[in-house]
Amino acid sequence: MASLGSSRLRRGIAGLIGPSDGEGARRSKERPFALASKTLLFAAAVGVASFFWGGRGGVDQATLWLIFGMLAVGVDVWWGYAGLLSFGHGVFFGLGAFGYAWITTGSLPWFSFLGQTPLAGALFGVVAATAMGALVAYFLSYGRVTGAYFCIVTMALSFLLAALAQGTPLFGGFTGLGGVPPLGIGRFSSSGGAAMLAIVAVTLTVAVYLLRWLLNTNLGRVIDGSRENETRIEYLGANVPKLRVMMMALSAAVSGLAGVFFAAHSGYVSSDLLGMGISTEAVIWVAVGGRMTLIGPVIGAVAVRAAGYALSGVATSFWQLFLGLVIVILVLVGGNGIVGLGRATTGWIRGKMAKKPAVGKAPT
Amino acid sequence: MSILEARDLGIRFGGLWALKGVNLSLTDGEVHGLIGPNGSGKSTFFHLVVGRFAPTTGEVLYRGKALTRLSPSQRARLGIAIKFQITSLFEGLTVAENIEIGIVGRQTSMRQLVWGGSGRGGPSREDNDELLELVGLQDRRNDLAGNLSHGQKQWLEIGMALATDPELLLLDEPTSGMGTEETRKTAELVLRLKGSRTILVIEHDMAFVRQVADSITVLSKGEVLTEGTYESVKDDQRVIEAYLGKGRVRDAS
Repeated sequence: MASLGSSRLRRGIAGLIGPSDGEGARRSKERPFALASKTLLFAAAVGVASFFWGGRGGVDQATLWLIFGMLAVGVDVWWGYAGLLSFGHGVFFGLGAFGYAWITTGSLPWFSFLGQTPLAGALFGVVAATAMGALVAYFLSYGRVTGAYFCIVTMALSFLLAALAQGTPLFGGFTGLGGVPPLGIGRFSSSGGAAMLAIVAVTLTVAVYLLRWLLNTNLGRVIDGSRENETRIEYLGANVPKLRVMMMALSAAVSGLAGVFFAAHSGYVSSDLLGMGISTEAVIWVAVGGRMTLIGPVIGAVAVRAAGYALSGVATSFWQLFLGLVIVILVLVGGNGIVGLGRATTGWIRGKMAKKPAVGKAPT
Repeated sequence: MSILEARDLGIRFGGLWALKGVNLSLTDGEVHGLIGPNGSGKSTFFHLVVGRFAPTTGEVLYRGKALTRLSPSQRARLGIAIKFQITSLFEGLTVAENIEIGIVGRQTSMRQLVWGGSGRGGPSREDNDELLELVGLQDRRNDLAGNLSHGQKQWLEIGMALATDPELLLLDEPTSGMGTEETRKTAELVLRLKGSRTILVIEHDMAFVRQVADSITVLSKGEVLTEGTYESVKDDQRVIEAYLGKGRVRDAS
């Protein structure tokens, strides 16, 4: 029995950078509508709860957490489904945020023809993030960089870009760029509050719906294959590097859109957004919420951020320690975060109710 | 016309020529056995055909087209499929999903992958069932591939290779580690496929080779020793020596 613990640990760690244990893949064909409904319900519940808890300020906090949730959904597309752990999604988040800030504040003379509307800014931010994602994936996929090496390269990229940005006036150097306008069309603008929360929640829901739909197609099957056994799928005829460039572009687009929302919501962008801090935290959100679930990352981001917010008042110095402990436990138990726990529990209850053993074994 | 042709094929690993000056030609629709002692270069030959290694000398032609510059996935899309000696499956996915990936794996157009769902040009449940039945795994369709027995894994990999609808199927030791009954079933499977596809099979089980192969090539130390039918090859003195070592007297059966 002593070996059970160590094999669990090994699987937990391998689960972070290797193929899944099959549990997620087996449930991979959830209906897009059902998942999107759950996402919307969750976002709405978070919004309402935050209002009763902290009024308008609470709602603004909740909006921020949902934006982080969207960043984490981007990470899940790449880490969960393509199976490569990225510590560099801050780069796409940051580029989305800066892209929006540059256009709306008119800091890019070359692109002044786009105007300074929030819509143009949002478009530019998403395109910049997507292009960066495709570029990074192009070199890493065709260069056959996988596994732990992929983690290290993306981490280095994030570190490098944040450092570069700190010394570049265009990125506002150390102080960052302020005065970024909120989202809006024509005369209407949403400066925080319930409107912004609704925009973020609905966009997140649509994104989850579309991603789930796409992953249910044959494309999703081939991506499953590229994650589970890269060599095998190539000998079956799949063009893995091309698939990965596409997936990374998609993942970066979602994370970039989150960056756009962040810039519009907070009105301020800085080089921290590109850095390793947020990149790493996004990975933690996915791990806490549940990998390969799309909704898990949203739950994880809200849970971790809300817990941090609630605890920071009473135990500022213990917060990071507590977060670290959660990660260690997750790796040791090797489960699939909150969503995995929820599924295991409902499976167990259903098994009890039916008075016969549960069909799906609970993930260990 | 020959479907596959190796011309002066050779590969060197460090100071060792794993294959040297190999010429081999496969006729469309035949089942060809590739035999030889361990280390004679049989699997290496397969790896050169599917593109895992690049040859040091010579080239492989597929329907007259040189394969040298093509990637493994491009070769697979031309119609070459392989069952590796050590099974390579999607162990975290179900048996049915493994077959499904085989069916869609060759599709590279995004339009086809995204819009060609079930019943819309994509794999249907029937395609999947047909293949599962062919390899005798219809009862295991929802089990994880990783939980199959050794023999079943080999069948699944053959099924997955067949799912790509290949013209040339390479089978690297399809009966290794199988019992008599499983070996018999595998031979039956190969015989059922005979005629519709060209099959090149590496095998140590001579009874199996005799049963399925139309012709045989014997490799030894990276070079072609002889070629011919089972009957002509089995009594060849050089073949017996290659397998048993010179001067050793032992009953081959």
